[in-house]
Amino acid sequence: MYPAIQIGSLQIPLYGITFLAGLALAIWFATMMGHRVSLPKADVLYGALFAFIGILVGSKVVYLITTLPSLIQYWNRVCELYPELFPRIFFILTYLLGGYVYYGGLIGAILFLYMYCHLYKVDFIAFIDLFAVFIPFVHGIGRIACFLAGCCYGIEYHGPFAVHFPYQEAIPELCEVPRFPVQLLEAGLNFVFFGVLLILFFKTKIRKGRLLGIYLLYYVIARFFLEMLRGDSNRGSIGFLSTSQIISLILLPIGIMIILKGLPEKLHFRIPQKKTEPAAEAGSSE
Amino acid sequence: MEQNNGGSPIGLLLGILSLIISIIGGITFGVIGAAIALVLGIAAIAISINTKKATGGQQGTGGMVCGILGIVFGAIFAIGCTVCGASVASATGGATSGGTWAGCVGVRCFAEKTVNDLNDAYGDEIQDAIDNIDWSQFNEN
Repeated sequence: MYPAIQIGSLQIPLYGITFLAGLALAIWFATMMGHRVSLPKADVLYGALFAFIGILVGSKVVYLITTLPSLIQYWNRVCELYPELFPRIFFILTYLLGGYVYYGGLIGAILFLYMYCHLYKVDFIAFIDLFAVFIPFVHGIGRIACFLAGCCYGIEYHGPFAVHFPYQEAIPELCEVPRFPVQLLEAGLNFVFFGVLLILFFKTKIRKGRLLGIYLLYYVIARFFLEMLRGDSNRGSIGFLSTSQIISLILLPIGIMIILKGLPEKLHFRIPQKKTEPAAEAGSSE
Repeated sequence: MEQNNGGSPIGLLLGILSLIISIIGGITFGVIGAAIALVLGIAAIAISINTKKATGGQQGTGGMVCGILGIVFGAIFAIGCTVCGASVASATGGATSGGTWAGCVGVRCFAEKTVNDLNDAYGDEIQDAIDNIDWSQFNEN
């Protein structure tokens, strides 16, 4: 819809601004709520920054895994277009540096958060309980950003709320037919579930990482079916299932397990208390 | 107890580099500059957090702030143009997709260069085909 805004002679892409604004808002709210899980504001901020780094790294790694086979398959055609070495290297870098996968970002965020908690002996389970609430919020903002950019578009659709995207030179097939607004549907579902998790966080004593399990259960089911409404076939697939559907099937039992058993106690990463020795007997000290 | 952590100047240096490269590199070279800024910003933040933990929050703020800003600008320039990569798909006949280009903010519009390359590669063939059409077959008798 509106992939970029014009400021003078520069076009600023809206996707990044929208996503980062949502992320900043979520981090701010999380620092305000950290005391409910006995986390200091500073630790919440540092953990959030580590998680953000994990989002960037994880989403990029999974994107590369899904994209490299295509680049290898069409390598000869790429060499035809770019016979000189430097333009070819530049093309490869710009091609590989674009694109991100949500599930990779989620897994990366959890791994990097684990790394932070392990390094500095902070309660990982408390972090998970706090951050799980905001995952659907940030993701919902991201899906709105997708709608603005025109990426992750839906299947051809002629019913109510069908969207006619304006012509974009980058995605010519986007405007050929009216599309189902799958980005907005997913954003709406995410915001609703954000409300659900918020209520569970404030009104119940569900902890021990189970909020993450509840989120995973909701999202893997939702994503599995939302994938059927996606029209961008270039997002990667294995057989008749898309990459995200396969990841959903892998995460489903993990989510169920977390709900049933919670996360292991050792993930609290508590600093062990030093044993205080009994006071020395009279006459035995210096 | 405060400690003089040697990571503070390193984190600050990396953060400043990240910030400068994200703005200048993002504007002039698009995604390449933005990607370099992202890597430097990530390193700056990691080192600054370690410094803050080691010094009880006394040091490391400058590196953290610069690193965050470098990542923000880099992410804006790098993430935003995901859709432009589809131009590669049409340029290469569906060979590739999903790339981010230097085009949205960068002076060097690689997407445009791709189209120009296509014209250079196949433009003559197309022009030859047009020139060789026997227009007489369309004349009405």
